[in-house]
Order: sequence, then structure tokens, then C-alpha cells
Amino acid sequence: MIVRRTAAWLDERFGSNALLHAALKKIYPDHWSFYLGEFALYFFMVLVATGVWLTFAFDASSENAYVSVLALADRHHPIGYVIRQIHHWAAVCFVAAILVHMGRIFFTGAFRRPRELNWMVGLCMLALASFTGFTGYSLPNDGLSGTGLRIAYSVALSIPLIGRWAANVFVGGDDFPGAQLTTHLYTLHVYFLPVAIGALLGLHLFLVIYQKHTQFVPDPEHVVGRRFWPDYALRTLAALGATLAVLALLATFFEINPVADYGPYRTWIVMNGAVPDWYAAFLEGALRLGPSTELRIAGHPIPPVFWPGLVLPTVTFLFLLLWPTSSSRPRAFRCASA
Amino acid sequence: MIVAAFLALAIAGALGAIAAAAFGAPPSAFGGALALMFAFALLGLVPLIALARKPGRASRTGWGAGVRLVDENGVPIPHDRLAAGGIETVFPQGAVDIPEAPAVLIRGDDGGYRAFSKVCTHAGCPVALYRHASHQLICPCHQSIFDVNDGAKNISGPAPRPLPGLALGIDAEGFFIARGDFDAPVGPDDWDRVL
Repeated sequence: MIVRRTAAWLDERFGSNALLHAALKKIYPDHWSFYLGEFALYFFMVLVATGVWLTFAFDASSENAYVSVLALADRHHPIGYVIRQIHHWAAVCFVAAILVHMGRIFFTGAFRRPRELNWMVGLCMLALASFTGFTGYSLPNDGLSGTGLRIAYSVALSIPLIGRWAANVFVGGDDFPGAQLTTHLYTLHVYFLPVAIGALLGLHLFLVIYQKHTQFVPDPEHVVGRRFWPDYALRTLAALGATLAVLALLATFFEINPVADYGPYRTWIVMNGAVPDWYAAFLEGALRLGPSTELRIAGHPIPPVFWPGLVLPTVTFLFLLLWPTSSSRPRAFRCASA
Repeated sequence: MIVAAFLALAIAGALGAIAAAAFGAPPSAFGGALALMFAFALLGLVPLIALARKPGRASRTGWGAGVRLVDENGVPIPHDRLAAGGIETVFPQGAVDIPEAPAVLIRGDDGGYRAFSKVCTHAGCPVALYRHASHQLICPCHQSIFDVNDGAKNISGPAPRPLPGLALGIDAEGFFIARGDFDAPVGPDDWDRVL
């Protein structure tokens, strides 16, 4: 009754019923692998919600960041601690969900013409999600993440010609850790990167709806799947519920990033076995395996961290970005809109 | 931030060109994309102009002739502090906070003391592990290994050069002092550190 009257009220003003009918009738694919991207979406929603909560208590200055994280979210402050745990677990799961979703797109050839642009948008979101994860992981200014920032600073410093400039802009000073480092990370993590992800997310979903999903059934004439209401709506609500439940269980029973154990960052202290969150591990591993030779061009050094720390991720990103252009063959599976 | 903005614009320009190519756009769209990329390249002049007054890099270590070695609480180190095989992180007196200052003081099996920069020459991590039996300093971040008996020479892993050494002396009151600054620049190199 209330729903009907609300719909009528809106329709009278916006003529929205036609759109509403189309949305309720829209056909969504049935296969489980099409839900992987939705899990990523739900992780992002959880991240925004818990992240807003965390900003109320976080002090974004280099001196107070660590203390404020402990005060907000140590083990004696159960709700704050669980929220921070959910936030961190959601972050590592978010990047994982994007990657698995990308795997479905890649291995079913869904990135092919005419959907190349959406592949590129998705890849940019993967890169942004990794940056958001790294900047957030670095905010508490603890012993583990401070070492990671020191490495990132060295990588910035290694860029030919503009290394010092880039490193100084990054940390806000001419040595590490610069006075404005935490403030810079906070602005990136809380404003710039999430807003960029949100904007690309809107474009991503618009393109999916506009171009329609790919489908496994070789039927160019019909869209195969289930209507939004009631079939798909209940399924995606179940997916949301499952996401929340898994995050709550992980946050409660498996402690992640115990910054109280790491201690505050001090330049001369590092833990043995210091490793970053999983999505940065390939860079960490590449730095370990990288060359030890320092090239010199007219006396100017190119430090060895430049190759695994900057060239490798850039080349990987560009390779994946350009992959859809490697073949002009349309998708092997027929798509409903083509 | 300007670098980030420039990179974002350049990527956007490249994306535009790629998208134009991918969707088989007519030549006019190609021209538009190229014009955009050219505009972004012009924007690249902004960081180049900024380079004209390139910022420096702090090279202060706090060490110099006669400066006492102290521990992290500022307490001076007496010359009989360590047993053979012992190791301690030391700082220049009154300058514990300087990032390039930390050093390790090691007493070898022969009873002799050595001191080296604790900042790895690879990516700047603290070289925090010491394997006494093989007299090696090991960086926990990327597993670079330095031979303490051979001037902290980089013998394995990605570090490009040895850890800078610190010449030691003992003052009249029996405390360790440095006889000068490190014998090489501290931490990873960069383009403008022309040796």
C-alpha cells in the first residue's frame, strides 16, 4: 500500500513508472560466476560505511595517528576494534573479489568487442582499490606499515630525473618520514581514491546495463536469466547477507593487522617476516628477486628498486589495459546486445 | 599531487586514444584523441618547470668527529659494553631522531668493534638481523645480506652497494665516539646523488 502510493506519487511528478517497470523486469544472468562482481560491490559498500565510522575517531597527524588508532580500536574497545577489523578484512577481500571477478571476465572472453572499455574501467578500479588499500593500511603509522612507506619512498626516489621531486611531494619534506606524510595519505585514502572508485563504479554499472551482460547460451535473439523481481533481488540480497556474515565472522575470530603488537613506527626498528597485505606481495617479492645492479647514466644512478618497484607494475597494468586490443575477434560466446 | 594529476590525465588521454582505436573510430576521432594527448603532454611541462628548482634531499646524519655513540635512550656506550658477537643499535648523541643516523655497533669474535649504517642501501629498511655464526647482517625486508668481516659488503640479495662504515674511537672517559661521518652516502641512491 505504502509502496504503491509512493510509486504513484513519484510517477505523478517524474513519470517514473515506466523506468521502474523496466528495472523490475530486467533480466539478470543466472550463473554463480556473475555474482563475483557483486561481492566486490558489497565489500566496497561495507568499506564506505565502516570507513566513515573510523574517520570520526582517527587523528590524521603523524604524531597522533598511532595513538588514536589504539584509543579507538584496541582490544579493550570491542566495537571500535571489530569495526576496524571488518574494515581491514573488507579491504583485502575487496581487492580479491575484483581480481576473481576479472578472472571470470578474462577466461570467458567477456572483455572482447564491444566491451573493451568496461574492461579498462574495471582494471583502473583494481589499481585504485590497491592504492586505497595501501594508503589505508599505512595510516596507523605502526611499525609494519611505516616500513612499507619507507620502501615506497625509496621507490619514488628511484625515478630518473624527477625522483627527489616525486619523493618530496609524496612525504611533504626532504627526508623520511616527512611531516605531512600521514595527512597526504589520509586525503588520498578518505577523499580522492574512494571518490574516484565510486565514479568509475557508476560508469562500470552503467556500461554493464547499457551493453547488457554477456551470456553463455549461444542465443543472440534472447536474453537468458531471471527477472529482477522477485528472483534476482532475493538472490543478490542473499549475497549481501553472506558478505556481511563472512566479514563479521572473519573480524571476530581471525585478527588482522594487530597494530598494537607492531608498536609505533621507528625508523630503526623492523619486524622479521615483515610482509604487506596480499595485493602488494607481488611487488614485495619482485623487490626481493630484483637486480642488485645500479645503472648509471652520465654519473646519475638508477637505483635497482626502479625496475621491480615501478617498471614492473606499470608494464603489467598497461599490458592488461591493452589486452582487449590484441584481438579484434568478437566474443566467442554470443552476447545479447550484439 | 601535480605528478598524480599529470599521470591521471596522461592515462585518460591514452585511454581515449585506445578506446577510439578499439571501437574503430573514424580518423577524426583519432585526431581528437591525439590532440587531447598532445594537450596532456603540454601539461607535462608543469612538472618540468617545477624541476627547474628541484628540491634537495636531507643528507644530514648527525655523525662527525668526536660525536659520542648513544643508545635509543641517549645513554653513551662504554667501550666494554658488548660481549663478542654482540650487537647494538646506536645513534649520534643529541640526534637520535635523524632518519639517516641509526647505526649498528657489532663486536666480532676477535674482540674488535665495527659500526655500519643501519639503513639498507636497497630500499631504506633497517638492517635489523644479525647472524653471528656467519657474521652477516641481513635486511628483513628484501633479504639483502652484508658481510660484517668484509666492510659490510653486499654479498647477496638486491642491495647495490655495501653499508656505509663508521670509524670508531674511544674518548678519555672510555665511551665510544665516531671519528667522522659515514664513509659513503646513507640509504638508497637517487638520480641526483652523483657520486
